[in-house]
Amino acid sequence: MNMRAVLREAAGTQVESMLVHADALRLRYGEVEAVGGVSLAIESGEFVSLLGPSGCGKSSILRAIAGLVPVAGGELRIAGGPPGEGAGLQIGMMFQKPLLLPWRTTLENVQLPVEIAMHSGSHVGRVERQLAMDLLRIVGLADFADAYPHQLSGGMQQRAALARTLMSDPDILLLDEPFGALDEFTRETLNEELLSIWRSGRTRLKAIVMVTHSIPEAVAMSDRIIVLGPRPARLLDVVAVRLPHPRDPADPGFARMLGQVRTAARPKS
Amino acid sequence: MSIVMSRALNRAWAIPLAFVIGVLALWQGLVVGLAIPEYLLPAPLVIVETLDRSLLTEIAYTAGEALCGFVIASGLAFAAAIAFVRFRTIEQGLFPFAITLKTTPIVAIAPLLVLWLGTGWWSKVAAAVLISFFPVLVNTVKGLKAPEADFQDPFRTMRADPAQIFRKLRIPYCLPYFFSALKISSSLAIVGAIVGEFVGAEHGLGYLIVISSAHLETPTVFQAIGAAALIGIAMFYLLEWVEKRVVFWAQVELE
Repeated sequence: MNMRAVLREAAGTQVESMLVHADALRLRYGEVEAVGGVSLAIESGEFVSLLGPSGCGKSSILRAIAGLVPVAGGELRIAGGPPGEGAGLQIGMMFQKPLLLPWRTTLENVQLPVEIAMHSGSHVGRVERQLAMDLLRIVGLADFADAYPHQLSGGMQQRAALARTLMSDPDILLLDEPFGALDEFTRETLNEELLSIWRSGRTRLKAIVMVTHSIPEAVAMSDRIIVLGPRPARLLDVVAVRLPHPRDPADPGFARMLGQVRTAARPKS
Repeated sequence: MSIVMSRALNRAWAIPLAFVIGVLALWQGLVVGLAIPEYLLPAPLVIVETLDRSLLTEIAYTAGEALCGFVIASGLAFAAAIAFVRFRTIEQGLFPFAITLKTTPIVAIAPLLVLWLGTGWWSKVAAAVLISFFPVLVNTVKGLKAPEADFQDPFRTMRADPAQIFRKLRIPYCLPYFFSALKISSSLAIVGAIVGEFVGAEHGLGYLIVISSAHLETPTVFQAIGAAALIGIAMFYLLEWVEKRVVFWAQVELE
């Protein structure tokens, strides 16, 4: 833990605010090129969306930032260092499915990252347990700490997954269409809750990167939208969203923003 | 429990029970009515009337051999499955042997087992082990590998090492697969024990079947067959009882 803090400190002094820096980044799965030369930068304090059509390779960029996919070309630096094990920053990632372990209670699922980091069997200290309970309170699941995943609704399962991701105390939170499998009502509620957690400053999060194919969702959530074209992903445009929070879809400024992003996302022929 | 539910339960029991009684009555009627000789097909009442306490001893032999073989096979297969998934080289090297073992009929190997291990307990246990090993191995391997597709990414982002992935993910995840395999192999273990007894034994249901059929004591043959079935049913329900408690969470997750 201390070692990591030192590394973090060192990384922080070297690169002031640049958390993620990609330069002509290329990613491939075997023969298939998923991302063909994308350059982007994500700074501290930003909520950034990667917007693009389904299957365009935007998830691959996220997975590369998490160190799950090797870089096939170009450069990708996380806080000045290579992605993966060596990254001085803690990265948390949330997936389309909640991926909770069905034999563990909600609380035990949330504690999992700490157990793994501390090599502590299935026991965690009182501090960690308290932290897990706090996170469950933040995501509104305090009353379901002892419930099993199959007793939770889809939305509640994703909240638990969010709490688990926050448990590793990430600097960067990567969200891969996190609420995409949920119905529209639940998705909107969870998006709002996510924003309020992010803006409350109760976590140490420095940036959130969210993959989405929904233009309204990107406009409602982000400070900047990175618009990507179809596979292999290329950068089409970067749109800054300077609307005050909470954002109201009925607001004329919101509608203008939607139009601007829609134009940016339109394939140019 | 509500009255409606208990009625439904009663109905669930009543229908199969009525059919069983009907079939037995028909059987009894046909045997008596057509005067079928007892050595060909004994009537159900005759089978019950000639029941003898000594049958319990034979049941104990066969059940003991089958259970012992089943436990050994399950333990070995579980350990082998973990070795297979942890070290793919072992899987590649030993899987052909496992397939060979599976495809060779136990009836063909049984005489060799009796030759090597004698007509006592261990040749039957060995037959039970050989026949019940494979289903447990295959299903446990499948269960250990099953979470790879979905859970690999979250565990990698949490930086879990292979040992942690086994302890915290693969092994608990495979338990429902393991239990389904146990239910299959428990009845196979009884087959193994009885085949072993056919070849050479002084005790057990297989021995009883061979001796009684040679002496045309057909009611005893039926008693032994019924007893073998009862052992299988008992083991199945015992395993199901344990399964419901150990992998209670899988009721919804898996089929």
